[in-house]
Parts: sequence; C-alpha cells; structure tokens
Amino acid sequence: MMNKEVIVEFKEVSFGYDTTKMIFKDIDLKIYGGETIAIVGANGAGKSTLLKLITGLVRPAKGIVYVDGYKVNNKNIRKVRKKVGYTFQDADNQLFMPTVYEDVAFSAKQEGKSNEEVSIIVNKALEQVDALHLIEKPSYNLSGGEKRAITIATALASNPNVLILDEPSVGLDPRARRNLIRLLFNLKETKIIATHDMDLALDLCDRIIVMYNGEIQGDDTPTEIFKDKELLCNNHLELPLRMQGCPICSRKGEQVESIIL
Amino acid sequence: MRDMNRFVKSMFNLAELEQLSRRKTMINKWHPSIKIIITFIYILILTSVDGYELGKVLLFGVYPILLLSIADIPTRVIASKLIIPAFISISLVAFNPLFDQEIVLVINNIGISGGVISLCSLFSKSLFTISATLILVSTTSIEKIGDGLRWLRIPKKLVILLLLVYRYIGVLLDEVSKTIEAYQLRANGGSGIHISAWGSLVGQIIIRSIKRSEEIYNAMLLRGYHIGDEE
Repeated sequence: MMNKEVIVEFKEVSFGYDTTKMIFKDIDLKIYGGETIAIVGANGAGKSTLLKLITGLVRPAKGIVYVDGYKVNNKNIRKVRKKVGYTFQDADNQLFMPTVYEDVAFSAKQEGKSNEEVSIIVNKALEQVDALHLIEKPSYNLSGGEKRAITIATALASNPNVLILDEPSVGLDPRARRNLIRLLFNLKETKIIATHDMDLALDLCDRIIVMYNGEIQGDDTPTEIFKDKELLCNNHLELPLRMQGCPICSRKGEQVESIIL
Repeated sequence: MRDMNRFVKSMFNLAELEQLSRRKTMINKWHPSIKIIITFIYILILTSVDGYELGKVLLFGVYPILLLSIADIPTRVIASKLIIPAFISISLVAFNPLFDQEIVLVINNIGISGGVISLCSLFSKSLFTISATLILVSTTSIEKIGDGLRWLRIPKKLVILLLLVYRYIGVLLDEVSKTIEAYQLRANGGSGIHISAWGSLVGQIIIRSIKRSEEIYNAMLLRGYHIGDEE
C-alpha cells in the first residue's frame, strides 16, 4: 500500500500563533504516499495545528511545508488544497450546505464543472462512503455516524491524494465508530488522522506520531509505540483499551504483537 | 423557559418546511424561477399599494389562501411561523392610531381613523408577504431556490450566502437553546433569565457564532472556495 514517494514534508518548520512564543520548533517530518498515520498527543499538543499547516490554513513562521512536491505558499495554495481533503472535528462546521448533495457537490461546483460531471462526482463519493441513500437528505438531519461519512465524502469529492481527519471518531457510538474504521481502512488515499482514540490508531494506522508541547516525541509503528510504556506515560497517553485488561475479571490485556499483523 | 425554548424551536423548525418542499404537488413541480418571480412580483405590487387602501390590501390575501389550498400545506405550519413576525409588525405600527386620528370612515356611527386603517393595512401586508415567502419555501427546496436564483443571474456569492444563512439558522438556534438549558440547570429553579446574565449569555453566543463562522469559512476554503485574494 505504501510507496516510497514523500507526499507531505515538513522541513525545519517553526510556528506560533504569537510570534514571541513558538508552538513548533524546527519540526522535520516526512509522510509517504499510501501511509495511514495517527497523530496522537494530549490536548494542546499541537495535533490540529500540524494538520492546519499541511492545508495552509496557518503558515509557518520558519521552514517549509511541501505537499506532493508543492510548497505550501500563496502561489500554490489552490493546487495544495486540491491535493488535500480535510475533515473537521465538528461535522456541523464542514456540512454547511442545506443538503447532502449540495455539500458533496460544493468543491466540484467551485471548479466550474458541468451539472452532469458534478452529479457523477457526488454519486461516486457517496458510494465510496456507502451513503448514496442520504443524497437528498438535509445535512443537519443526519446522525453522528452519517454526518461523519458525509464529511469524508465531501473531502473525497475533490479526489485528493491526502486525506486529513481531525478526531474522526469523536461522538460516534461503537457501531458507527466500527463502520468508520472499516470505511477508512478501504480508502486508498494517504490518511493523516489526529486522534485521542488509541484503539482506532491501533486498528487502522501503520505509523503513529506522538506529539507533546509542539514537539515530536515518538514516530514509529504501533507495535513499537505501544510497547514503550514510558513514552506513553510521559506524553499523557494510555494503551488502547483492548490492551489494558479488565480490572473486574482480571483478564489481561492483549499483547501488541498478537493484535498487529 | 423550557416552553419558550420549545416555542422558538418549533417556529424555526425548518425540517417541516423541507419535508413539504420535497413533496410532488403541482406547485412543487413548477420551475423554481417561475415561483420566485411570481412571489417577487406579488410582494412588489402588494408593498406598493397605498397604506390607506385596506380593501385592496385585503384582496391580496386571496393569493396565499389559494396557494395554501392548492399546495395542500397545513395552515398550522405557516401560522406557527407567523407568530413572531406578526408580533414584530404589530409593535412597529401600534402607534399609527395616535399619529393619525383623522376619521376617514364611519361604520354604524363608529368613526374609524386613518391610523387604524393604516395599522390594519400594514399589518396585513406584512403577514401576506411573509406568508407568500413561506409558501415559496414550502413548495421549493432550498437548493432549488438556489438554482432558480442562479438561473435568474443572481450573483453566486449572494446565493451561497443565502444557502449558508438558511443552513445555520438551525445550528444557531441549537446553540441558543443549549445556552438557555445550561443556564436553566444552574439557575436554582428560577424562572426566566436574570437581567445580570443576559450580557454574558449573549456574549457567549456571539463568540461561539464567530468561532463557528471562522471554521465554516476554513471549510469552504479547503473545498476550493475563493473570494478575491483570500490570503
């Protein structure tokens, strides 16, 4: 699945909302095509800011971010955003049009595509997330799981190379969460997922980046990250629930090697 | 206060209008541009009728009544959404009888002043215009209204703005409702909102709205929207 082509690269990137205080200092990071990466860390660790730097919603004070070979700057911003699909933590912020069709069609319409082309794109994107039956529904009248699927469809509609998801499993019931994992698993795009959901990271990702106070503290496979209890503890993280064992029946948690193939 | 919450929610219950707009009645099937033009012309003519010509104004009431019956729209749906506009319009014209006391009509020896006539006339005008708009929305889905407006060469930015406003009425009301409920849960059973809390409640709602609008704008940018030089 993964190829060796770098699709997102941070080169000595520093950033701060306040120029006197940098959140990130000299971050170097390479993300390869086809990878599924979890960015984990405590609240305020800088996960969402890292994602916003990729999309150009915020710009580095120092250093360069590249997306698919393009520098993220004013000149390339439209090309960059065409390459990147982004889903927000709060689906209501992302689904801003009155109906599912209009929402998914938004980016295609912005590109000036014909009605027939737009219709094909919308149908394809909704099929990918198994939500074609919702096409005529009002966006505000969907369940949490449906909203999440539609936000992903809105991102897929612009045919991105990189899919960025900010806390995708927040507020989902167990079944909707399971469906989301299945859905994401089947998407071939490079996925960068900021999450607190360690089980999702374990089930879905082939690489985990641990952040704390704007610094990358760990960057490895889930096997190695979840073996390193000190790393987890120092960064206010915990093992996935299924690895923690049960305090009532004294069942031991699963070992990381037995979970990850 | 919970009743107030429920009342406001029902008044702005757009799902009701959405459901009506997706039916297949004769009027629903008309091209949206035709309905927009008819509604616009109706409102234009109605609002240009002289304020003292009550008889003529009342004749315009036939249009919404006729459409309600043809499109089979429950009167309750439209009536519930007219309550607050009716209250606002009556409060705007309430003092007309004081300003204009000249008797212009006598019925059974009872003199009716120009102020009363203009009050009734302006009140009816406002109800008829809002009813006509509500009927348009209940027979045409919002995206079709958007398409119709684009067909009429209304600038894309304005149409998107309209669609956004429509979409976020519900979200904003939800925020208001949550804020009121949060206050209520900590108000020790007191009724209403104490005047000292109004400032901070309104402030909170404004801050949340601004934050949300920033996020929505970001979401639009990320999906290819651009307006002038964005950066």
